[in-house]
Amino acid sequence: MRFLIRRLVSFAVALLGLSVVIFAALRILPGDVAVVMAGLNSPPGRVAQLRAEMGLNRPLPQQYIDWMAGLLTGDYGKSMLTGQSVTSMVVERASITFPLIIFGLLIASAVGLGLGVAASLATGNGVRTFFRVFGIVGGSIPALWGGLLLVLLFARGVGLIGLFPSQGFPQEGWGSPGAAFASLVLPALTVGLIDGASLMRYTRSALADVMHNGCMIEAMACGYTRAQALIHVGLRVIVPQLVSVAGLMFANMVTGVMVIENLFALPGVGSGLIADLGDRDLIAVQSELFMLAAFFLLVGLFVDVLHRVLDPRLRRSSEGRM
Amino acid sequence: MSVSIRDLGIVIGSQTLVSDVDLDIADGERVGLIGSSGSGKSMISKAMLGLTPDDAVLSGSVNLSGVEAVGADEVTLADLRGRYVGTILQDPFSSLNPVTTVGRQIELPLRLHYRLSKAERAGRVRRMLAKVGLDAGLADRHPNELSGGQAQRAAIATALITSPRLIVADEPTTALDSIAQRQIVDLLVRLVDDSGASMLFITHDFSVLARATTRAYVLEHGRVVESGATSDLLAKPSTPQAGRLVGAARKLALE
Ligand SMILES: Nc1ncnc2c1ncn2[C@@H]1O[C@H](COP(=O)(O)OP(=O)(O)O)[C@@H](O)[C@H]1O
Ligand SMILES: [Mg+2]
Repeated sequence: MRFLIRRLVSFAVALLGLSVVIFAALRILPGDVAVVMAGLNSPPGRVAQLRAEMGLNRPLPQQYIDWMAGLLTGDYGKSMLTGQSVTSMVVERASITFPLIIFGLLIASAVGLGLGVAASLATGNGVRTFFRVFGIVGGSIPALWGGLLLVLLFARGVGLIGLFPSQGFPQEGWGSPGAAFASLVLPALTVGLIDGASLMRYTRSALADVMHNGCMIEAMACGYTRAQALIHVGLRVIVPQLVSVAGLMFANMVTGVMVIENLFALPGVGSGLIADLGDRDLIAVQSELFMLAAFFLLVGLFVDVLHRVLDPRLRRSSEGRM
Repeated sequence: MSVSIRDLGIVIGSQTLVSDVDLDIADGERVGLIGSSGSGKSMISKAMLGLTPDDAVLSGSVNLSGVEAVGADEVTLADLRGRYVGTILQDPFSSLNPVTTVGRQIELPLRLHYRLSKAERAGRVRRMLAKVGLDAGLADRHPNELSGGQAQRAAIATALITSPRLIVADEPTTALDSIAQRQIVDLLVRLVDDSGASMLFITHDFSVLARATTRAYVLEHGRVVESGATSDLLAKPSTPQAGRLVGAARKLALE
């Protein structure tokens, strides 16, 4: 319980710190939204007027406090350019990005855990080499390059075997689930296979460590074969570690997905953020970055708590301190 | 279960860890294997059941009541382990599964080899805990919540839960103080004799050996250098290796 409280406090402090950093960074950013909106050749008076309308002439601490007060009451502000509320913009974009990440994580977990276990059990030299090469190559391919490769192989129109669309998201969104799903297959495969290769390497090395652990030999002494012991005991023992890795992978994926969304022309959170940044849409970018930061921190919080629940050794040591 | 080991050799890489070992255990007999640390005792006990590391190469023969264990396939060996042979590994703390409860650990051999209802299994675990002198409440605890003596007793309970015909106990008392050592040895001897099983008892300590076994083998650098009745070995060790171990045990007893 004390662990949870401590963890929540550090979550709040980190979030507050990040909000200051985001706010400050955007004030330093070159380019002025008022100038952009007014047009480069408009008279200075027009720019000043716009600035006043958007509240950009208030003192900085005032702007920060107003922004934070808005966040606390759930008001994330409006886009300076379109007037649409940032919340609804983000929700719309997240309806593409979130399924993409989950889909990618599922692929990564299936590939990573499956091949990781298979690689640990493999005895033949050829098979071992295959797994090693897959781990190294897959884990070091840049997302952009991997995505292009998949497009060249499987994209409708340009690919060797045209299976899936490679550009855009259906107009009606999830209103046409089949088409929406199909347009996520290649992007999800890109992030999923790349992170899956890393997860595979991690799983294999963690299992190799566990192999020499007394509890594996004990499990075999109780009647498991080596393979059964690896799956029933070895995997379970490394699950807490894997959860931490999956948390990192998840965070990694959010950034990887920004590149991928641009490559596949998906109007998601990542490409939206980049577009808003290009437009110098200060309020939108500021709130979007804050939401992303909050999301990252939430994932970290969740992973830490889950790690603790899954590993009795940690639970005990925290109780010991009370 | 009777054991007959002939010409056992164990090689890992370029290292010969065990060679030319002959060792017999009759049905219901308690036999000791004693030797200084690193002499290959654990390797021999693991070789009996296919528990040696992946890269170990075995030669010779280990016959368990007619079943040849050296070179046997995994499934045959796995079926012997936990059902007919109960093993107590060297360090109970590192061998108990850290992420499962003591109760789940103890019932594992039952789950793997017998079709019992959950309630039947729980009943057996409860009776087994009582037999090894552990509180029934410990079944829901995790290994990191146990003391050294409790962990050792839990490991014994795991090895004995299926009433196996052979118990292999690898230094089951090393981690304990001398009073607890005696208690654990006496407990083990009583349980093994009650069930009529045979036992291979491994130690580097002669003072424990006398309580646990009637006959013993002295191992040095992977070879058997002396064997005979445990009392004879204690009274008049004929090799310097055995003499050193006996001397060490006497010194320990005097302290
Ligand atoms: N996995 C391994 N690979 C190579 N050598 C090992 C391995 N495990 C143990 N050994 C070596 O085998 C020898 C015998 O070890 P062991 O049977 O554990 O000795 P004991 O149980 O008598 O103390 C030691 O010299 C040890 O260093
Ligand atoms: Mg040993």
